[in-house]
Amino acid sequence: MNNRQAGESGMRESRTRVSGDRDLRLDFFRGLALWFIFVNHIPANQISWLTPRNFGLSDATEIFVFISGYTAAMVYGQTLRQSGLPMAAAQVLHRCWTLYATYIILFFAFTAQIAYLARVFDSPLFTEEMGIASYFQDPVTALTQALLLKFRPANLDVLPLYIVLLLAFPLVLPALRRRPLAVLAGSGALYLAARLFGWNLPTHPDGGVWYFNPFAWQFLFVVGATLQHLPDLRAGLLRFRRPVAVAAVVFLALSLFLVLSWQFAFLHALLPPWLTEILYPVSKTDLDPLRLAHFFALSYIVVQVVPPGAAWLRSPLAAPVVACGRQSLHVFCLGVLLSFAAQTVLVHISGSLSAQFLVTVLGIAAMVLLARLLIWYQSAERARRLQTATTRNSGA
Amino acid sequence: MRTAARRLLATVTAALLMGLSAEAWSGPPVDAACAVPDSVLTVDTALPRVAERLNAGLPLSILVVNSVKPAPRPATVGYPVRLAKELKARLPGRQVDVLVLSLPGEMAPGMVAPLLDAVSQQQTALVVWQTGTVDAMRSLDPESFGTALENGIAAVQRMGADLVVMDMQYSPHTAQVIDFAPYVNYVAWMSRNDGVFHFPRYAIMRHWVEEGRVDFADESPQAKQDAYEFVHRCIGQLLAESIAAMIDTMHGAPP
Repeated sequence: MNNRQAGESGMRESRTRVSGDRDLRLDFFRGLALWFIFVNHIPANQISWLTPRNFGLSDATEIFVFISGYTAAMVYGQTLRQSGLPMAAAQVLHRCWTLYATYIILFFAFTAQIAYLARVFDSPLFTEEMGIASYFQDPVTALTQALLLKFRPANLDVLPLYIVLLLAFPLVLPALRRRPLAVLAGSGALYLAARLFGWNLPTHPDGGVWYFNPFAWQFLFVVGATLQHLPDLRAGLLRFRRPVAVAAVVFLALSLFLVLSWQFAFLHALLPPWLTEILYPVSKTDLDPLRLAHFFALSYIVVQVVPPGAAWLRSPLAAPVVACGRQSLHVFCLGVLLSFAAQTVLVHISGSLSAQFLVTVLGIAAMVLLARLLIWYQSAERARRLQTATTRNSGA
Repeated sequence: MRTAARRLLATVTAALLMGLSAEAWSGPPVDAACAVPDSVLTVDTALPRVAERLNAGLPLSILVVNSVKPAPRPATVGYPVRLAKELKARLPGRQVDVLVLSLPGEMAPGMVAPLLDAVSQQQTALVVWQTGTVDAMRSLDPESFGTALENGIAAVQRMGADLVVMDMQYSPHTAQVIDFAPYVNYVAWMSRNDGVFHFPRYAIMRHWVEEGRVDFADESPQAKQDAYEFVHRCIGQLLAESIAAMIDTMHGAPP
């Protein structure tokens, strides 16, 4: 019974894939999240004011992690049904390898930057407090720790998080197919335990923790994956109900106020101290429940406003974003490297507003270009393979 | 609504008092090169415990706590020495002592105990707690950092002393490889909630860099020396100016 259902939904999915009728909202919002992540991770870039983190408690990371969980369940779930677990696991690990290679490239870029700092910042002013040079006192340890994902690229920690989430996914995938709700419950329990007992992964040098705690952030990834597996639950949760919609809008408005109060002291003065006492700190590291609630409220409203077949998703204006979302893995990797490169340009060459604008536009253009190239390459490669197969068949 | 009006009134009164007291100061004004706009540095808190001690005729004893490593080749004088000089010029007739407690390579949680020991031994009136650098470099859990900060602040206040929390140094180059933002934000939140003055060194240095007043990327030994000189002189001045302003608003003009 279960198998038949799974088989049917598999067929339905493969049909939708073949006809190209996939939910464009996933591609669009993931693409948008990738643009935001790129812009947000250039600390010197003032254009990052336009991104969601300045208007609400959750930000592009939540969007990216949730949709990644959702699509991972969709894509690898299909492989699992068609070709079994070894193939699905191999596919996931292949992805991880790409991410890991990006991480190592990023590590080299960082090391070069630190080497530069160790030389230029060997000044009385900075050595007494920072001692950048100490990074190189023990290169062997530093390099080994980096290979073990313990090196923490400042501002770009979402990369190691994504690697770990994907690495664990083959373990979750078969269980997800049989008992999705049990997986969700387990994931929720791990989330609560991690928050309660302060579980997190260590970093190098010792004493630190991952900026994105994987034990907490896995929950959002699994929520995405579970919702993908349970279309009925999804439809039930997302149905329009006026009280829910009103509550969501009120919550979004309140968090907008809260976030603005961090920037404007006069707004902060309006908040009663007992409230701030309860609310703060809104931990990003451990994915504070307020951030989760904000993300869910935001998704609920967005899903109401943007129906699956919204015409504008197919407009030429949305096309570049959709393309990036569709090729998210490679675009994400490129984005991470581009953030670092862009920050280097702003720090070393020019940090003017026009330079910020220029690196932002060029970076996004590069991401779109890569996405387009990959889409072209994949379809051309598929056509070529098909052609070879037919010639071989007709030859035989 | 009424609270907001009262707050506004309080702000206006404070501004008036500050305006008056600024004229009363005989000390040197802040150098034009050091000055930062109100959006970067505003004095919006008071030092009630310091005021109480000064009223009782006690000296202004300041303890600077930091995680600075002893320099192999000592540079020129750092900001604590300048702070003492600048404060004496701004508070004539007052005895000002500045002591420095260096805890090299220590993170905030490890600073609390020695800090409290020193406060009780020295009868400190005001602690300048300089922290966050090592925590950010070693990516300590921002929440552990915040908890340590909160406990330290509460304990110092219980001992009858006030605090100024000073955050990290800024340069665009170091900010690229070390993520300071979560720790700076924590200092800002904590100080807002606990009514403690947050001396925003990070934002101040960022303002100087963006205004082109100082260049940390210049590799010549002279430029490095100049940068040290500039930063410590200006931090000393701005910190002294802020502390004097807070003492003045609370305490009235010195006798």
